[in-house]
Amino acid sequence: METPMEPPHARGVVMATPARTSDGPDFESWLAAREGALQRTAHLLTGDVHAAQDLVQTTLAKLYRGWDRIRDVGNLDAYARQMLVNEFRTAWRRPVRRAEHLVEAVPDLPAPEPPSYDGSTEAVWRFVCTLPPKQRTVLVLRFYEQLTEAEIAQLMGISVGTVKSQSSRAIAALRARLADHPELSGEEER
Amino acid sequence: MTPEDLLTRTFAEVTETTDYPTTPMATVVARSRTLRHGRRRATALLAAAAAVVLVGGSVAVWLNHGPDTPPSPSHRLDPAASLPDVPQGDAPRIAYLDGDGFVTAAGDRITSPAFRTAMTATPYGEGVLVVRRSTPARPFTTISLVSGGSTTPLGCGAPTFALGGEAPTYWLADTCGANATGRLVEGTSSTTTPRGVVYYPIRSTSSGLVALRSSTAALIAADGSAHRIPHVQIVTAASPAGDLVAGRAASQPQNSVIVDTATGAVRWRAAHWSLGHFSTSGQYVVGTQRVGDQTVSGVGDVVGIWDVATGRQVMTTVLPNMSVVGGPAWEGDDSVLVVVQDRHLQQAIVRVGRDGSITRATSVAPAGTGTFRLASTP
Repeated sequence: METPMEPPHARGVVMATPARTSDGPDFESWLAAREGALQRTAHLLTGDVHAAQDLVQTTLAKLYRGWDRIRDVGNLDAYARQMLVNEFRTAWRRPVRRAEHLVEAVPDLPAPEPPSYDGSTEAVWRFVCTLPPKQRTVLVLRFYEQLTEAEIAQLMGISVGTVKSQSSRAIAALRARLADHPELSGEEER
Repeated sequence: MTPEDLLTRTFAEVTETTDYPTTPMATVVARSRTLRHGRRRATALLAAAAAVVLVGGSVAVWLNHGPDTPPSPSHRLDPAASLPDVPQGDAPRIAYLDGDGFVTAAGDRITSPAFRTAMTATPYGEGVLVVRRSTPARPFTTISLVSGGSTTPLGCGAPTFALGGEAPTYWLADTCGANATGRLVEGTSSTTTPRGVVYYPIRSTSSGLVALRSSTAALIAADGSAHRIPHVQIVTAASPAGDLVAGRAASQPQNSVIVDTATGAVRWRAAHWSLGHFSTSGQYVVGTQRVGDQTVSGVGDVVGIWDVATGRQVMTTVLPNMSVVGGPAWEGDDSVLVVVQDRHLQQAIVRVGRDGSITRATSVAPAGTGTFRLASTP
């Protein structure tokens, strides 16, 4: 359950927002309530907070532009999530986008050693970030958004079989890494 | 724990331990407008490309009066204009270089041989700091201080000055060669910089020094620590308050972005524009579209001005038959100066008003003799 992070009037509104849909929320109220969820999903998709913010802002701008035309207000969140995923996949199809590698610090220091897998949350997260965008998207939708395979297929515009294959490849790769750490998979307890 | 459980746990922990910024409504509105303009511009470009086949290059002027641009100013130049046809206006209200002279904002002229090879310059104390371009004999840009009729070489350095602090900030290499250590110098104080990293200072702000650090936009604190400014690859300007920077987008270098330095968020984008400096108050930012050498009558580089807060373009004007070869630089909040060259290779400094007016700020230098360069501005 999402709660508004701050009142809409605190967001520096300088222009009129689109008109309220017939029986749905106005854009600003919806934004206040749901932006956090979009930010979190975008972070998991992109692997970077700044890239996530850029992705969310683009998605919000497109949503704002078409707000009046969104009739199915009952599925607003699903609609926004689909736009977010589509925007992410579109961005990752652009070759120049892949050239951008955002880091927190200026990269003039020696490169860190390649991450080693130690089974921690951080290591699993690093592993997820190395996955191809399509596999990562499937994992995020399946294990964070808790969507069914059929829902993921519909959202991504791919077949259920592709969802299964993408998911199983990613999990197999993770399982292979877990083989070195049986304590994480519970093997040592058997 | 199964891999599926690990993934669920990891996703939950990553998102629960991260603080996410909120997006101001103004940002959403600004980006929405940018998207709309980008789409309209793409449509206009397609239409123009088709029309060029039919009616030749003159349509390129129309292109910049498309539906995505603000209402046209009433006093645009004749598309066939050359520099002598541009009305003469007031002298530049910022300093500039002309031949071996440095002309101050008050109109006083200081001469020195050092100015002849200057890329840019800025007043400092009783003298003028100057960046001199490289020569075959001296293949590095050098920084010198011209004062009292003499020139004091300070060393090899980067060709930019950051203004906005108590004194101009510039970067000097300890040795004239690659992979050198260096120093950021402001007045009498200096900060050592790492080996092999070249700093191009952009602006001193209350938050720190905005600089291009090798190929990375960075905000450098007083202790020398640097923090990357995301989304921008080549930073070109910073706002007076230091809260915003302009530059080429890291992901799409043909576009420019305005980035919030505190949050790292993109405020808005300008597709296919090169954004330059912020106006004195920080309310406006100027940009250019350069189409290269002018070979078709009526075509020219374009100057645009945006409202920083909203990302709305408030003015765009074509400089017919002219190429921008220097600048732009603001004169307060109302006009910008650019050094332009026309099809006959004549040069002058031209003033573009926020109302779209175009006037000359200097006389016209005959073909091949133009040596106008604008001084550094914040």
